[in-house]
Amino acid sequence: MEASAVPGRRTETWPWWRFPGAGMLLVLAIVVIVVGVLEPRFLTERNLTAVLRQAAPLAIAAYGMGIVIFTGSIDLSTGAVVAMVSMLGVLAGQAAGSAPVGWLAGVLVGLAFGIINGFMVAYLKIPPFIATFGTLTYGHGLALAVGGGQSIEFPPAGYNFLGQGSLASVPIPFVAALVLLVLSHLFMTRTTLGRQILMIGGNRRAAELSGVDVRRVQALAYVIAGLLAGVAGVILSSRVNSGQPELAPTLQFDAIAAVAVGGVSMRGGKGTVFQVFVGALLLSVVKNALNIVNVSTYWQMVAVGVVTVAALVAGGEQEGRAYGMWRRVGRQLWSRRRQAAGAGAEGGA
Amino acid sequence: MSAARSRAGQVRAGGDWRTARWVNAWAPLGMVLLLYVYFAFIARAPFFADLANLQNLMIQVAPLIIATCGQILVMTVGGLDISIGGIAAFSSMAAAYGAISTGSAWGVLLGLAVGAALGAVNGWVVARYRISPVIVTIAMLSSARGLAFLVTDGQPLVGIPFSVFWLGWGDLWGIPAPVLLGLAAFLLTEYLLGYTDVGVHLQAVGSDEQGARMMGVNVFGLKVLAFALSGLAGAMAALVWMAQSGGGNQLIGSGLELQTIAAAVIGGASSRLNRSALGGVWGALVITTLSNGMNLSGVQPYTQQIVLGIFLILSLLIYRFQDRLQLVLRRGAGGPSRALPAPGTPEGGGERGR
Repeated sequence: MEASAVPGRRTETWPWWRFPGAGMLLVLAIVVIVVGVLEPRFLTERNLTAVLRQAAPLAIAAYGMGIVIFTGSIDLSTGAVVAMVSMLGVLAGQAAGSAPVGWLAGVLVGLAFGIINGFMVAYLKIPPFIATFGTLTYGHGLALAVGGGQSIEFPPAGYNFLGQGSLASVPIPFVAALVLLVLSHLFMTRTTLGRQILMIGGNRRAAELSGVDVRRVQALAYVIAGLLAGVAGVILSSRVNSGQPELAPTLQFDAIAAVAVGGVSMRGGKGTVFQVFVGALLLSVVKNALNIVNVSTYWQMVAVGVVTVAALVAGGEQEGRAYGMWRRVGRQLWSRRRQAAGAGAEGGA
Repeated sequence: MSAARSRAGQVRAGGDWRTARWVNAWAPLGMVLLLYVYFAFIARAPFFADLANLQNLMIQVAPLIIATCGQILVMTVGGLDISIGGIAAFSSMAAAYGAISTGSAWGVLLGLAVGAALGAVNGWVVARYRISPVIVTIAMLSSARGLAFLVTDGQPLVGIPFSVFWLGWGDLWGIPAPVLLGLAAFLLTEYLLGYTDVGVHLQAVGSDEQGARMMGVNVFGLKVLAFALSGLAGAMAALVWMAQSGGGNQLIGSGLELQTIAAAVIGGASSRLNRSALGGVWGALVITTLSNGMNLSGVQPYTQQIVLGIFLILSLLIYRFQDRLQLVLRRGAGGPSRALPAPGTPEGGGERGR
């Protein structure tokens, strides 16, 4: 039986363009071309680097969100975690008088929140939604309390390099996003823990019965998400070169939207980090395009909501359906055409 | 009424369960009283124990109770409504628009209709496309608040007819109007959940959707109903706030999703078998007493946030252990003869929230 249409089966050969996220990559390309044609200011080097700079922290936070969503949970605390990271990162940098110490401290703060979330969800069995919502609340309160409601200015010299620097005209944040993309992709596909994360998302009971320590894997997914949120927070804080208690209060919603737009199932068990990356990029490009053509921020809020749900509907989030709406329609058309040409039946579904 | 009545018989059969449920339903009241005593007599917050402040507390808590009733209904069908604050904001704008353009207080009904419609859209997407309610309502939160800003380009909508202010400031036989509305919302929800077949069916959908469908329950319709009622509740709460603040405002209901979920969870309503909305009332009272007391003691707002977040998580922890405790009590603490079901398995009380 030649190439039947069951994606993800390792033994089959696939044309090189059929990989998860390919469709969204196509959409991204179309959006870029259309906006570029309609609005010449979009395809300038200055604007494109700005888009990449904006997309990077969102993408990094979304990798973490994606890894948590792969396990079938959710993390709503990212917005508070990045605020806390920026406050404590700048404070630690000031205390030590060196920027790298500040960055490291920031990442560690993210890690600490990841550990707290993971412990609450995996070991105390608090529903992920409530536990991370609680972290969002007290984390935000803590970030405000650290500076007495004020932002913390004057970080050590060079603190802004991570957020504002460039490497041969490519913004450093985007370089970081690419490096982390490769690392987390390798982590998800080449390590036991990565496969186990997808496994407990797919079928928690089966994973448990086949000897996976579900609680540990669940907790570690949150820890990794916290770590990545820490990196995103350091980059955001370094971009504004200060510690802000209101740094990105709705980052978690944007990250979830990015994951959804990338075509990852919210039920868990399916998806790749690359899809998340494309989703984050697409979201940032669309936001930037709307900004350039002077659409009000309010319409953008509406657009993010509508696009998220539309992506989930089109991406086949419905139970018991292996494919999204578009692929189903496409397959029907394709099989009909083949039958009409007498080329035989369609592949197994 | 048949299903509701037969269940009432069952309740009478198991006396110990009835006691346990009674304790469950009224235990959070103890938390309210403890907080009240703490702020009034131990922390001695200035003016806290005054009669005027008690009335103020009642007026403050009423819209939260209304919104929490909606949240409890959505939780009963196994969902969560995060969009309730956004819906409140948009329906306050719609209500103000309706009242201004018709020139009569009845125009605010437009706000209620809009709230229910947005809630129904939530429910339709959740039930038709089976997307996680958290994601759908997050998207709706963003969209609805965006729409609220959009209709007037970020300006609040003022100049509502004077008669609308009754909703926020008026009274009937000496009882403030918000309190009456809160009471009405609570009684209606209580009646719906505890005494009608629709309530039983809502619980059936929440506890076992597939089973409910097999029994011929209209799962789709009930989900839409629950979400629509939640939107309606958000709009109702928004009306009270709108009347108190004097016009449609985009910032109405910011943080409402957290407050309603916290109120429902603190009141013990996070499990899907919500037979009563009483817990939501206690939860709302706990939150309002806490913030009122801390305000009067001069605690910083961000410290209040920290306390609220920790309170939320702690109360969930307590209810988790309470589930276990009940199982142990029911089996007479007879040693490890039968292992307690692991949380997360269908038996036991493990399946909570999402």
